[in-house]
Amino acid sequence: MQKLRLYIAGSSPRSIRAIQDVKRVCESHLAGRYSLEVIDIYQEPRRAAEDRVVAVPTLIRHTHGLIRRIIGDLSEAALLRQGLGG
Amino acid sequence: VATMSQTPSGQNGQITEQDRIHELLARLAEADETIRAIYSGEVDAVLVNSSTGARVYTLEGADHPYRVMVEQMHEGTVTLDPNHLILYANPQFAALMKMSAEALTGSNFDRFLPPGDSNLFAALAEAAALHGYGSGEVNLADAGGDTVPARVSVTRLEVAEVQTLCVIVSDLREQRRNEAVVKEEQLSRLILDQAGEGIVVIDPQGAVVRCSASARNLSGRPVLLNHFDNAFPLQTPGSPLNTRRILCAASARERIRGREATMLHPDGRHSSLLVSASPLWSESNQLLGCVVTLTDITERKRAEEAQMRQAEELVRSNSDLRQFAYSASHDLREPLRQIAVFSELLQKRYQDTLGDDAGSLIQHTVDAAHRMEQLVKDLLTYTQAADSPQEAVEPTDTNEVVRQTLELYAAEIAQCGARVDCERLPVLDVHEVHVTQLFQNLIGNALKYRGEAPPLISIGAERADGMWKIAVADNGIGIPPDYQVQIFGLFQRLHGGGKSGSGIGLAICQKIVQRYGGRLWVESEAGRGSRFLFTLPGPNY
Repeated sequence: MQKLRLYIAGSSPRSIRAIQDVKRVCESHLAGRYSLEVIDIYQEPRRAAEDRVVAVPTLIRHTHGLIRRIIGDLSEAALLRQGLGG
Repeated sequence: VATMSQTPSGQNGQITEQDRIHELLARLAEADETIRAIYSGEVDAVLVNSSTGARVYTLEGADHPYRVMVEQMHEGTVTLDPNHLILYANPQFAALMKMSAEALTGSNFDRFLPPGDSNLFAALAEAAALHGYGSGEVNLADAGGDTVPARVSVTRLEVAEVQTLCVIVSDLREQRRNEAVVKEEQLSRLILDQAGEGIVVIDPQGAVVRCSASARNLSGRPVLLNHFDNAFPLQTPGSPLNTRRILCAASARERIRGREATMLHPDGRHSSLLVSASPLWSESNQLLGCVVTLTDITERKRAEEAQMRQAEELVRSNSDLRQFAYSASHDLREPLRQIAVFSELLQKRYQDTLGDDAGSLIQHTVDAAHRMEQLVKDLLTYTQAADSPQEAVEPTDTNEVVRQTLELYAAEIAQCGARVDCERLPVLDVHEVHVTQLFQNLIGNALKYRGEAPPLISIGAERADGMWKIAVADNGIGIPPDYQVQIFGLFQRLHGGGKSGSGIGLAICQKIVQRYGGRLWVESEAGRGSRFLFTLPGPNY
C-alpha cells in the first residue's frame, strides 16, 4: 500500500494537471494498492509546513519508511520515471 | 527529479555521523530540486513560513481561475480598504449599481448605502474585522437611486499586511419578487375563499381554472377543471347564458352585468342566480379567460316575492276597508239626519203637551244626533285624507294657506284676543287641500285648547334633512307626556266633554303628513303650551 500526498495550490493550471496526472498513473499502475490525499495549501498551509513543502505542486510518497518527493513536473512520464508506477 | 530522505528518527535511535551526513545530503538534494523546479517554471505556488504563519505566494497565472470565477459569478464582489474605498469591483456589482467598473474603483462603497442601512453595513464590516466574517441583508441604493435589496457577506482579508474587506453582494430582488408573487397568490386565494359570492375563472376553452369556496358550494358538482356549462348549468328566459355567450362577450371586450339565471341542482332544486362576467386580457392583447361572478339570489327573490304579495294584499284590504268606511258613513248620514229632523219636529209640535222633562230628553236626542252626524262627517274626511286628489301635486304657498285659515278663524281670534305670529313660510310640494286641512286643525286646536291667558300662536319653518320642518306653537293647556302619542289616534280626545270635536283632527293630520313621507309629532308640557311639528317636502328657497 502506497501512501501518497499531493500538495496543490487551489485550481492553478499546474495543480489541476498534477491531480489529473497522478490520478491517472495511480489508477493504471497501482489500482487498489494506494491511498491519495490532495491537500490545498491555501486551505491547509500548516500541513504543508509540517511536511516542509516549499514549492507546489509536490507529491510525497511514503514507502518502506522512506519519504520520496517529486517536485514541480508531475507529468505522467516524469511520475513513471520516478518509479511511481512500481 | 526525485529526492530521498530517511525518517528523521533514524533506525535504532543511534544517529551516527554517517547518518547525519546522509540526511543533510538528502535535504540538500531536496533544496536543489526545489530551486531547479522553481527556476524551470514547473511550480506555480511557493509556501513561506514566517513568524506570522504560513503564506502562499502564487506565481503567474495561478490565480487566473479564481479571477475568472469572480468575474463571471452571479454575485457582485468588491474589495474595500478599511475606509470602504473600492479597490476592485466585478462586472456584476457594477451592473447591479448601474455603473461602470472603472468608475467604481477608487470611489467609496458608502455611496450605495442609504442612511438607514449604512449603520448596518458598518456593523457587518466591524464583525468581519473582529471575527473575520459578517453577513446580513442590506438595502443598497444604485446610481439611479433605486433600492436593491441584497445579502451582503463581508470577509476580512489580509494581503501583504494590508487589511482589506472582501464583500459579496447577492441580489435579492428576484427572490423578493418571487416572495411577492407567492404572497399575491395567497392573497387572491384568501379573497376567493372569503368572498360570499361564487367566483370562478374560466380559460378560453371554458374550463374552470379557479373557483371560490362558495362557488364550489353553489354548484354541488365537480367544478375545478370542468367545463363551466357542466359545473353551472344555467337557464335564462331570453338568450342563453352559457360559456359560448360569455366568451363571445369576452372576446368583444364586453362585460356581462347582473343577468338573472336559474340553475338546476343535481338534486332537482333550482337556484336563482345573478351572473356577471368580465374578460381577462393579457398585456400582449391575448384573451386569458373570464372572471364569472355568481350571486345566489334565491332567498332574496323569495323574500321579494313574499313582500310583493303582502303589499298587494295590503292594498286590496285597504281599499276594501276604505270602501266600507266610505259607504258606511255615507249611508249612516241619511238615517241620522232623519232622526235629528224628526226629533226637532217632535220638539216643535208637542213641546207643550209633553212637558219639560220630555222636552229636555228630546233635546238630548237632537244634540246626540248632531254630534253623531259630525263624527260621521269627520270619519269620511279621514278616510278621504289618504285618497289624494287625482291631479299631480301643484306647489302650494303655505303663507297663503295660513292667511286663509286665519280669516276663517277671524271671529274666534277677535273674541278671545289671540295673537298669531307667522314667519315667512315655504312653498310645499303638497296638495293645497292637505296643507289647508293641516293648518285648520292645528290653528283650530291652538285656539280651542287655550289656557287662562289670551292665546299666543307662533308659526315658523326651517330646513331639516331635505324637507321643511314647520312648527305651530301655542301657550295653551298643553299635553301631559303620557298622551303625546295617543292624541294622534282615531277618536282620541284628551279633554273630556269640555271641548267640542270628534277627536279625529290630529289623526287626519297624521295621515296627510305620512302620505308625503313626512312626520308629525308634538313637544309639550302640561300647562305650558304645545308645539306641533311636521315635515313635508318642498324646494329650498
